[in-house]
Amino acid sequence: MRNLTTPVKYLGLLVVLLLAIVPIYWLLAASVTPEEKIFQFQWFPTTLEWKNYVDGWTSAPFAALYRNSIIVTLLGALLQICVALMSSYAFAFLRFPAKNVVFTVFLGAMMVPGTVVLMPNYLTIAKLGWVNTYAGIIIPHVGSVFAMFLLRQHMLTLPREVTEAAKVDGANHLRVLWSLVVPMSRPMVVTVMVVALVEKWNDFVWPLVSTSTDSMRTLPVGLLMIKNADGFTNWGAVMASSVFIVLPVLIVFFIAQRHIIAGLTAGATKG
Amino acid sequence: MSGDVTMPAKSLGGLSRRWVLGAAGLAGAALVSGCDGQFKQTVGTVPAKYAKREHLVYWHSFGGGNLKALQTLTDKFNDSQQDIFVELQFQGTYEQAMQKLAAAIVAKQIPDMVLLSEITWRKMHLADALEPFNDYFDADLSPDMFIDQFIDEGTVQGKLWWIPFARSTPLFYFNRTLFEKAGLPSAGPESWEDLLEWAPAIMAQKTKAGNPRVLALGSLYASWYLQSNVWTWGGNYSHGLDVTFDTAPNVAAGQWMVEFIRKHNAAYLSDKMDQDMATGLAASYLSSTGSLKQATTNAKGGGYEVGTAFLPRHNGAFGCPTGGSGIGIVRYVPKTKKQAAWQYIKFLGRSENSAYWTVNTGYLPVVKAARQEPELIKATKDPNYLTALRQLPLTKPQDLVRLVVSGAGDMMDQGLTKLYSSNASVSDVFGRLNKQLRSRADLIRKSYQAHYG
Repeated sequence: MRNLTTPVKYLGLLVVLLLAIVPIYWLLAASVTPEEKIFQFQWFPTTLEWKNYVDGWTSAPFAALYRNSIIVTLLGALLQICVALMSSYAFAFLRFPAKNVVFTVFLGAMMVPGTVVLMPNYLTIAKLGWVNTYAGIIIPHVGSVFAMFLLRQHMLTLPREVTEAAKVDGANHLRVLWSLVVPMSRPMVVTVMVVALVEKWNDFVWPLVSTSTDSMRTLPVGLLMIKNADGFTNWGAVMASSVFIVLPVLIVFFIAQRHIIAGLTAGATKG
Repeated sequence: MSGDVTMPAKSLGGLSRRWVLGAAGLAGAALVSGCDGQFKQTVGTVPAKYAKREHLVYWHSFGGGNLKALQTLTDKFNDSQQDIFVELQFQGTYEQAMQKLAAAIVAKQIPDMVLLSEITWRKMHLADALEPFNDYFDADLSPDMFIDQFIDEGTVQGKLWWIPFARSTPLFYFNRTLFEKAGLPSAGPESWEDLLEWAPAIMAQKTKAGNPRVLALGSLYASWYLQSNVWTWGGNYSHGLDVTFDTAPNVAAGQWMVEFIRKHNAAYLSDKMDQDMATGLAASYLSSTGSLKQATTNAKGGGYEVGTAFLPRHNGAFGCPTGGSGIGIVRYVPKTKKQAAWQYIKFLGRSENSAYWTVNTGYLPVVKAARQEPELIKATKDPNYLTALRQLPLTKPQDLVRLVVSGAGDMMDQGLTKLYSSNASVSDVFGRLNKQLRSRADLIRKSYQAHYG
């Protein structure tokens, strides 16, 4: 029986591997295909057109785009996790009036689609003079109900005795949060962090709306500048530029892979 | 590391934490609601060498090669004089740019010029956001220097609101090599009836993908292309704001296409029409005149020759709608900036600049004199390019419902997509569209009557 299932398992793994690899391979192959061959089906590019990368790099201000994307992603994710940690701590451990009502309202806010708040958010940052600034891109999305909700649910599962013991020893709330709750919630914090990083890195509509000049744009917006709505699009250059965008994420993923997988699964196996 | 996080509430100087939080909230609310009532220019950056000039912000939707061509022209303008600096700001698609303009007007932080499509300028005009151009024209640039139907399209109630810039029309693209192999005229079809008659011969040909179908139909802008069929069958989408989508000629035009798809198996709904012709899945498709460069590049890779033809006729009747974009000046901009913007528009309207833009982007020339520019004459050595120019005098603006009613184009495209890809009946789909469009049209009827009379 065991001998039979092993090949099947490997076959299954192979299929999943192909499903994951082929689109990435396609991206890489298309990024070195000459423009006239781009729509001709071929598994292996016959000639390597490295000029696509030069074209891609020069068709949008990628140096500035990278800088902005990194700042917005890191700072945005960090602030978001801080706010989420503190608010979820409040909902999980503090007693205050109308706590459940406030929590329900927050959950309700989670159901409101992002497009609905786009305009109010824009007007707010415009009045604050934050259009085309990092604050304008980052601050409106610092509060994430989803992150808060995930962390709160996890915090509710933590044993009360530990935090109460710490309080008896004279620790204040920040101390309890930082020294006990955060270390005990590490898997969930990592999960929320990964979700936040990916979300910020790929966000398109808000950076497009909240910024105006090339010097403040982020990578996903830059990608649109290479494409043409109608008329001629150099798809090779578009693919090469997509590689620029995917590459940092891939590198980060390979380095942090162990932690991310641990973060995603540890919560499930820990009793 | 964890030891230094100690900030007791008392360090807030005796004020209770709740009071501080409340005060912060109130201050924020006051800041947000505080309006000063004055329009000001949206944020931008001016390079040091242009610091002392009148700064203009121009929102556009061009990427890739089109953006390069516009940047070249704008740099040329900035260096041609000492008073004005035009800054280009990319704002996504035409629709995204319009939404952002609407938000910007509410926030009172506005650009000076905006590139608006044939659809979005109508919305901005209804919202009273545009400045009429009539008083700006002078000897250097007058309306009759522009191609007539483009000026007509931007004119409502005797006032011109929209200066033509990147204009296009649909065009018929076909695989000429394949047509010739099938023993068909290399000039392409004259009419839809030709295409129907030729269908068996075309579909008997062998390509890399097997047997090709005759025509690939797109989902995006499907109603722009079908406008031609509707006209040639003697129908209209609407008369003014009166929707006539389900009238007999329209249904007949739709029925012809549906039979071409379902009965003759000759046409189909395609995700990427130009790609399908490149791979041999289709022998022809309808696309914008601006797509010629893409079609030529694809043909080079696919080892065939691409041909262009007028849109097919029906019973001798011809119809072709215009599309693309033009420039609007925002009404709330101060007079001096409007004057400066006009200088820029005048620069773009010079025949050599119009020709440069046309040759480098594939959009149609908007200024009559551009057609005599050597650069453009050289480009029209390509007979495919000439097709678009020859078709131009026969074109006209689309029926108003698609342009004026919000979401009309998308709604019609969705209906046509369903028609092209399912077994739905034409009268059902058109009847439902007619009802939907009517109720949408009612929403703007008052404003329409105020603006269009």
